[in-house]
Amino acid sequence: MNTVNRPVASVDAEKLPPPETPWQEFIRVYKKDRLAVVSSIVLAILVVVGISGKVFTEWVVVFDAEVVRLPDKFLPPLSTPSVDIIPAPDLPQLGVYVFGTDELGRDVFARMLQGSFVSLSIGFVAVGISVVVGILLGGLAGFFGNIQLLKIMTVDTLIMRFTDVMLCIPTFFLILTVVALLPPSIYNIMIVIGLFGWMGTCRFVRAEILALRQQDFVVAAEALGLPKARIIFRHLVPNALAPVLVSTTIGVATAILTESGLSFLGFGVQPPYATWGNILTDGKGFIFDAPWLFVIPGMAIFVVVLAFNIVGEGLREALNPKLRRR
Amino acid sequence: MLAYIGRNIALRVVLLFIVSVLIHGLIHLAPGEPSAVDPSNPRMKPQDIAKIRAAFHLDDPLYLQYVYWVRDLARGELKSFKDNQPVLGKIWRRFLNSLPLFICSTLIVWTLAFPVGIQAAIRRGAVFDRSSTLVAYALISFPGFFLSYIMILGVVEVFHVPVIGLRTFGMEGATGAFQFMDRVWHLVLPSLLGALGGIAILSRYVRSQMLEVVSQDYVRTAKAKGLHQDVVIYRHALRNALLPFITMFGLLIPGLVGGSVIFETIFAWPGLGLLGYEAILSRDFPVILTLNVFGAMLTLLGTLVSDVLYGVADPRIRLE
Amino acid sequence: MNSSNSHLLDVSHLYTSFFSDKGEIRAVEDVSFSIQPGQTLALVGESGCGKSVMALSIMQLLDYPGRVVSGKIVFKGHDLLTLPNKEIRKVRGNQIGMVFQEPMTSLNPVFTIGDQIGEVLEIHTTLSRHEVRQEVIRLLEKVHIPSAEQRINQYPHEMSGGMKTTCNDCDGVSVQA
Repeated sequence: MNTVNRPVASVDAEKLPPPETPWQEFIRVYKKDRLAVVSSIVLAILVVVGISGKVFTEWVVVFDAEVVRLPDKFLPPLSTPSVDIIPAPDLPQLGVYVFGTDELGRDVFARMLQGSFVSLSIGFVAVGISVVVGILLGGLAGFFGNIQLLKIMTVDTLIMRFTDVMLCIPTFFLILTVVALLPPSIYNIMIVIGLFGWMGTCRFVRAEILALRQQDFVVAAEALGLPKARIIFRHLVPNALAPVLVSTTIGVATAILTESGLSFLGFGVQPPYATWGNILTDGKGFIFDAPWLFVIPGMAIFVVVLAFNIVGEGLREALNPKLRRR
Repeated sequence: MLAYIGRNIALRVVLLFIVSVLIHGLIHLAPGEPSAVDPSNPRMKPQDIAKIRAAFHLDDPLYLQYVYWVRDLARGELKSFKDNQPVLGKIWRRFLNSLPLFICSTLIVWTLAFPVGIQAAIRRGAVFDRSSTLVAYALISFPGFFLSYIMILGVVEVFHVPVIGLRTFGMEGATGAFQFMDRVWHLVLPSLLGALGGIAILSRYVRSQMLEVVSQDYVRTAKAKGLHQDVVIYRHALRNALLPFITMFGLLIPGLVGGSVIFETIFAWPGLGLLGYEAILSRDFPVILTLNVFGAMLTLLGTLVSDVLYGVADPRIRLE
Repeated sequence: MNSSNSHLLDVSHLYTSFFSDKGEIRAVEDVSFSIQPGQTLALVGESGCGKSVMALSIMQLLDYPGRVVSGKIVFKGHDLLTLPNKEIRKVRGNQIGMVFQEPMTSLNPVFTIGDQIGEVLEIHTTLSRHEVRQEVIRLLEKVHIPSAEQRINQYPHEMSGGMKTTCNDCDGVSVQA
């Protein structure tokens, strides 16, 4: 019974700490998940790497990914260039080939740097497209679902049936088909991956809106005569945002993996763009002679996708009040 | 019940029609067609291309092409552009090759994912839960073919597991049992690798589903009766947690077509995925189209099966 | 701390807390009472004052992050807090029954009423399946459930709210009560 005198939080109302804002609560819960915090840092670094990749390989060419140095092909990571043979401007900036060189003597480090921007932008743009489409369609179905179209069906029926149709197409195979038939272009790949990934977002945006509309605070807002736009943006958007954010994070991971899968089958982003997916695919041909060409991009994709997945899961835990209270 | 099934079949036929029109339009509107596979071939003269286009009805308006496709498919006369073989026969043979791979990996997925997910849920926050969660995330974060290549390198040296094709060539004279074992042996690696991602995803679902159910009041009621922990978990909780997975079972079926492209390419497994890949490479429109629609049909069939099973398993749902 | 043998249940200085990430929250603080055989004790208090948590503490049914911090719960001469799991299961449902508040959620939706009420009898008695069935029917008739024979094959969602409450009560009644 020595616990009696220990100061503890009591249930008495006057002793309760001031209620924290949702944001503070989110931060507190999220911080507890150490893995998610580490992953967020990894992703922050990755964004920096991606942007510097764009800057230093294309705008201010510090690391040139396209220099071919045949005397230096297949050098393992951290080897020094053959200073005597290679002309000075073609030598790697850092003095060594940090990630080695490939079959043409190109600096893998520079290629990875360039690829990081392309891979990331594929992930973000594709998911951006699917989130926008998903929110638009889901929002339409949720808010204006009752409107009759030509007296046959409601907006809701139309949109949700269309979603069902899209869901029942084997996605990866159709993406493959379309990407293979379209002229090879990085934008086509982004758009196609994006256009086949919005169904999930659409479904739970609609579900969230329908569920929220039933809830008392929205009914009350409507009863008070608040304008519809205000109800949407003040009450519904913040609530529907959480699941969208989670699926966005995980969607970026999926899009990066899809691109690498397409690359493997030969329909990914075509040269001269380097992406992690096509560096990895090129590397598989030299898996015995130059394993770093395969392992480095593979592990890079793995780490980044893993980080996105863990951050997504961390967000889910921190944003979901039901899970949180347990 | 019968009326319910009838109505749902009708609904799905309509859906299938829309899907087929959509895919048909998508494939034909996209640039790049069979005659343009090999533009640099000097033997391809403009009149040859015109001949090819006429033979494949590529000059007709889109809706007519669709009608031709349906007509030929219905009569079983649909021919591949590439080798003039009947499409349905081709698909059927490849389907029979894909089926054992699909069944094996599905079995591996379901037998492993459930115990792992349930244990993780029971020991929420413990070492097992954390490590299985991390492993699951790791497995879904590897590009599929990267992991396969690494595994192939590691496993083949040690266990001498075959990695190419579905049987050893030149074994036609062997006894039935020997041939059977040879086939099983060839299945090991592809089905295991194909299953890894599935185990990861499914075990996560099982875990969250179990967590949801374990906190329900009726689980506490069951405990209050003095039931053994295992009875509470495996009888009262699991039966409720299982319900959503009936839906997932239906959604697995399209994996037969789409999910296997990469693995079948790696292992040179002559199944549906590889057929689709070859067809895409050669712009073989009838095969691509039929395969996509076949995949959609399997999905619709899967959702129908899961709807009916759901109605049977959950007493709260009555199919009307 | 007078736990004389005439007491059926003797709770002394019970402390139960929930350990949330914001610190310890005390739900039950220094509760002591005893019940003699045949005696009825009603616990009254405002909502949220810890009545249910105390009951759950006695039954050892607290879920993480709740935990009995200290105190004694002596039932028929044994301290329930120190009994092994196996022994506690013999007490639950057999010697101490519990009727939960929410009939809607306390009954398992995928088992029939008969199965759920009979389950207690199945594990704590040696009755045959048929005898269990008869006993359940008898129990339901005792609480005036009409056509009990048909009702035991029904699922919770097929019954009205009041009927569910009644079945829930049956479900909670302990074997030796």
